[in-house]
Amino acid sequence: MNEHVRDAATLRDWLVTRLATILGQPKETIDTSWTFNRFGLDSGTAIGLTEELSAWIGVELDAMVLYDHPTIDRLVAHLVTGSVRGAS
Amino acid sequence: VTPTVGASSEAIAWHYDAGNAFYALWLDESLTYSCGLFAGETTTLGEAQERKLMHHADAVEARADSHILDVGCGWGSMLSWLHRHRRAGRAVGLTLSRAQAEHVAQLALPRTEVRVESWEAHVPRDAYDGIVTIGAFEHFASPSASDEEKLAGYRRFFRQCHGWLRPGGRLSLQSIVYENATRAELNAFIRDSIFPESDLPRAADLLLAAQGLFELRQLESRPEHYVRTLRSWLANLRRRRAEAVALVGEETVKRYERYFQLSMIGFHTRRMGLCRATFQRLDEPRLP
Repeated sequence: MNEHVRDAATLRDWLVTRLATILGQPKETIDTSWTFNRFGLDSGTAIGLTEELSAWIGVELDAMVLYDHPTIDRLVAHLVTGSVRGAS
Repeated sequence: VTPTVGASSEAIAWHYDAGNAFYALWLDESLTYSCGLFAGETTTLGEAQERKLMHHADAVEARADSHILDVGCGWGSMLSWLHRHRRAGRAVGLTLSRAQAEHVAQLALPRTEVRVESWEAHVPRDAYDGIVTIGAFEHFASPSASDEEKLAGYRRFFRQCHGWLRPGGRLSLQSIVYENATRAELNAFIRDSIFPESDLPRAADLLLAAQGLFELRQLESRPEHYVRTLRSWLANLRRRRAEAVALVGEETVKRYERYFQLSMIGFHTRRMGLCRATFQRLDEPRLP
């Protein structure tokens, strides 16, 4: 796992930036306590985001990680403290 | 061989004739291309497939002298299992995929026949003791059919099975079903690029279609088993990705990776379920 995965602020910022780009809306409008579902993220987009995140942190994440940890806050907490599923 | 309901032979070939060697890269050793039956955390894919095959053989009470029909026999894992473990008296497998039929023929299983034939066209030589259909019912309705046409098609299948079975004979069925998703929400990518011309049933459709013809003996849904099956297939495909790309090309490999991931999410979020149902022939049918 790459070092930056342990840094919650860096992870959160990366996710907020990526999600804002995907949704085509300003970063300031991304509430990290909202579920990905509430943002209208479909499963195909969720898989794409998961793959990008996997590549960035250097860990192959499970395809369902955004569903098991359905907000940015919870996903970041999982990545920083949880045991990340999948081979590294 | 094209059936009048459900997916055409061409649609089946589009998916299942991608090449036996490609499927062999990521399926378990028995080449079972459907959801396994997982017993515990440590069950491997191969064990889960073995357990699943045993489940269906037991459900139809397959014995040494039984005459068994497998509708949608794939690469013959059920037929092989019956031969190895129950020395099936005779077994018949139906498939619409020529690649699968060729593979099964090469297994040269004694007293076993494989036919490239739809269930609609099948005429058995004599009555079956049991009928197994695993991961085929998903192709028995097309997305263009109305709800009524869809149910009528399923009804025809149960009616055929009823006619083919000896008195008291059993039917063991495994199929993906809609759970909290509707027909309109079926993922467009899966519909157009993975399983063209196919639409899923609901668990209730199975019961409605069997009503008066079959008694329901057992019904369960285990979507979590499909999540694990798909996770294993994806891991296997990724491990042997270079070989897969050499066989079928980057685009096809990507398509399968995406299909496995979308399906995992579909089962995990309960948009889809995985039903296993056992029916027993009502010898005095009462049609609604």
